[in-house]
Amino acid sequence: MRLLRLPRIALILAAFTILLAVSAYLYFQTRAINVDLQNEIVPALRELKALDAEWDANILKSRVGINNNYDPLTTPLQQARALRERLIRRVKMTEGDALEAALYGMEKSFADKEELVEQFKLQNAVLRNSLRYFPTAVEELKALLQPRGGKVAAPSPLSAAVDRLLTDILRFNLIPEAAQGERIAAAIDDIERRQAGYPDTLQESIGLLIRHARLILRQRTVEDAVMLRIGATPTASAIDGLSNALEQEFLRVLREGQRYRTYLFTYSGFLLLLLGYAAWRLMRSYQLIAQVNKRLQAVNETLEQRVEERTAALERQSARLAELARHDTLTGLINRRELMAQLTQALQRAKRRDWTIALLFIDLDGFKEINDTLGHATGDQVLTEVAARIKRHVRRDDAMARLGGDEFVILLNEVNTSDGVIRVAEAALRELREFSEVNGRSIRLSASIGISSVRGGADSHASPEMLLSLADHAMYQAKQQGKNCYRFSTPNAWDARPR
Amino acid sequence: MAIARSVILSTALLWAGSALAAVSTATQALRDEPIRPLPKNIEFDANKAALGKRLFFDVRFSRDNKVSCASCHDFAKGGADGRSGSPGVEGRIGPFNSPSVFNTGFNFRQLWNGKAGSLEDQIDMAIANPKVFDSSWDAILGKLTADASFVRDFQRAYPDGLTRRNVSNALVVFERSLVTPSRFDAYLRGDANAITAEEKLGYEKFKSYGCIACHQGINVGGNMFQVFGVVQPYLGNGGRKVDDADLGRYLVTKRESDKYVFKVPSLRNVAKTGPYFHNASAQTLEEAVDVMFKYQLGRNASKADKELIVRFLNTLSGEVPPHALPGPAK
Repeated sequence: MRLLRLPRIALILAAFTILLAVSAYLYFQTRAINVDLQNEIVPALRELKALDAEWDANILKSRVGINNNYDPLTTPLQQARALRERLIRRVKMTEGDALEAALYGMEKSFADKEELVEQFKLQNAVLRNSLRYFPTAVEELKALLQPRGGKVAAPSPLSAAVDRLLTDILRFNLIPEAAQGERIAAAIDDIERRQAGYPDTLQESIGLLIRHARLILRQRTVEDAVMLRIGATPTASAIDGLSNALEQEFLRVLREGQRYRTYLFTYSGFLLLLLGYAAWRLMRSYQLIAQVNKRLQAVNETLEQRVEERTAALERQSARLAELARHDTLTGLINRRELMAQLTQALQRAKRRDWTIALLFIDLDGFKEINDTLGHATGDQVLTEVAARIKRHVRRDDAMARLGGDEFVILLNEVNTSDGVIRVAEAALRELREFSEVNGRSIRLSASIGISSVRGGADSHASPEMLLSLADHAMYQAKQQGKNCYRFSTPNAWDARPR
Repeated sequence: MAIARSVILSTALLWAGSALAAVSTATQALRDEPIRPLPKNIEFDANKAALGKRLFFDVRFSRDNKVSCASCHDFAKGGADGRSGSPGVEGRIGPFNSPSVFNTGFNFRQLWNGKAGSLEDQIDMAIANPKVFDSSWDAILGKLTADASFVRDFQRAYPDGLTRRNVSNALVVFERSLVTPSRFDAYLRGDANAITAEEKLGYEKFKSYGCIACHQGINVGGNMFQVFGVVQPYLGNGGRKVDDADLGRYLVTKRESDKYVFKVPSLRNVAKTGPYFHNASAQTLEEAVDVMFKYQLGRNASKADKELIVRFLNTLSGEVPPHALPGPAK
């Protein structure tokens, strides 16, 4: 039993853990969208785009010469780099290949642009320097070509050629057409060929001029190419691309969160059902227990009732038995044993209080004849009637018993004179005389009564048996002396007492 | 008479007014100059900078405990070391002329060829370089964490205490604080008398000869790359004999077009940081200016003009900030 119970507890625990884990997982999935992340990335992207635009503006300013230093091209870079690093860190925290690709695209375009801007600065500085110097170089060369003495001579062909070159180069700087470039290159070659015919100092100046002219020609083309490539570098659209990818990613995460919220909701419903089921099971168990209890209680109650009934019956039976033990069944009078018990008590009381008690022994005369002639049933009827009639004259404190057959005894307490006793005896005799008919048949009844008495304080040896025996003797005397009378035993209690 | 008096009065008033105007223009900062003044106040965390200063002079950065940052960046020598090549661990001489550490926070990249994108990168490279510290972060952190006072002070300055990131950061904070405002900055800010008339003339020459094309911005350079030998080759192709270090940015990018391309160095404190160029090929400032004229500008200039330019360059020498001077940091 114990072995079976242990796995069950483990099973319940495991089920509980699984339920808990599932709900935790679902809850975590609904929280997957990080609002802080978005709050940080979106402004960073906006800032980066603004920086990029400012960068573009500054590249153009440097190109046309409004910017006289390159700090505006380099200082935003550090800011942009810091922003991008922050973005990379943040984006790496999310997932999604599209996002990664967009981030890579942005990084690539920024790296490309940075490199191109480096080239631009390098080319632009050289070009600007040469452009600034070129007119001066032309002037200086022309001054050297001017013959000394200040005479206005016809301008040398070289002087005219460099003048034309200056004009062409300045025009080319503004409108760099390839054909024009080729013409200028040819003109420069032409000047270089003539260089050899001049003195050393002039040769050096011509050489410088040629170098700068070729630099301008080359740098203009190269710088424009770099500018075109910068313009074609898709930093802005890469930022937009990343922005879009982020938005898609956020939407995806949002949708996913929504989906998991639905799952969580359904799951909660399931848990509620489970809880309801458990509650129902519990309730049912309680109901069952209540029913069983009720039944048990009912059984208990009937059991108790039956015990009570049985007890009452037993009590009734025992009371009846006691009654039977103490009474005569025919007449309802007490029997001999009870009489003796009451007589013992009466004697004790009489001794304590110095009362006189008396016993009247009544034996019916002629009852045998009634029995023989009218039958036992009528005899019994007669006996019952006799008992009832005589009993009317017996006080409640006194007692009347049937000893058996047609013998009756009356116990009288506290009879201070014989008058009371005589009255009872005469009343009994009278009753018998008056009882002349039973069941429509005439009868004749009388009794012989023996009376014994004892004064409690006087005779301490008096016993119930002795009193009864005395009364019996006196009754015999009454029978011998003619019946239908009463006789006192001798001595009687009142004789010894002076009046 | 009355008219004459009022004329005199109003003239006097006008004079006074124009004098005031003159005074106010005298203190007005020069605008639209291609060189920008250093900021007047540099804000930095004094605790971190103090830690950085201790680290800067700490020889435990080197494998043999003999070389510190300050070995190659002497504050008395303009933040450089005055040598052609700097001896690192075991006296190994590096291939480059040490550049100044001053104002490096304003450079767009670090090292002659721009290999280091940031000061942090430069520190990492110096540590790993067998001709500089020939060490590793693990070794350095091992030595520093054995020093209870360092551990304690880092705990005070940084929430996470002595870490690689924080050691590097403390050094960078200190380096960024090494800003040296000069007389020329005062001039740019509007103090017309901060530099002499000759120096002003030198500045004009500096601009008109085209030096300014590359040496511009807040650091008078340090914000771009340029070919060494624009007008004619200085290195290779008939120029000087070439070794690896001369390849410049090519070492970083391996692009043919980046051969002999170097970071345009800042000219701040240039008068104190000779010899010049990555290979220390110019011993004096005059020589350096000559090379620049010949190979970069492709121009001739009179000796007088070059001298004026050198005078101007001298105005770029600044004051070492007090907190960086030897002795315990305040």
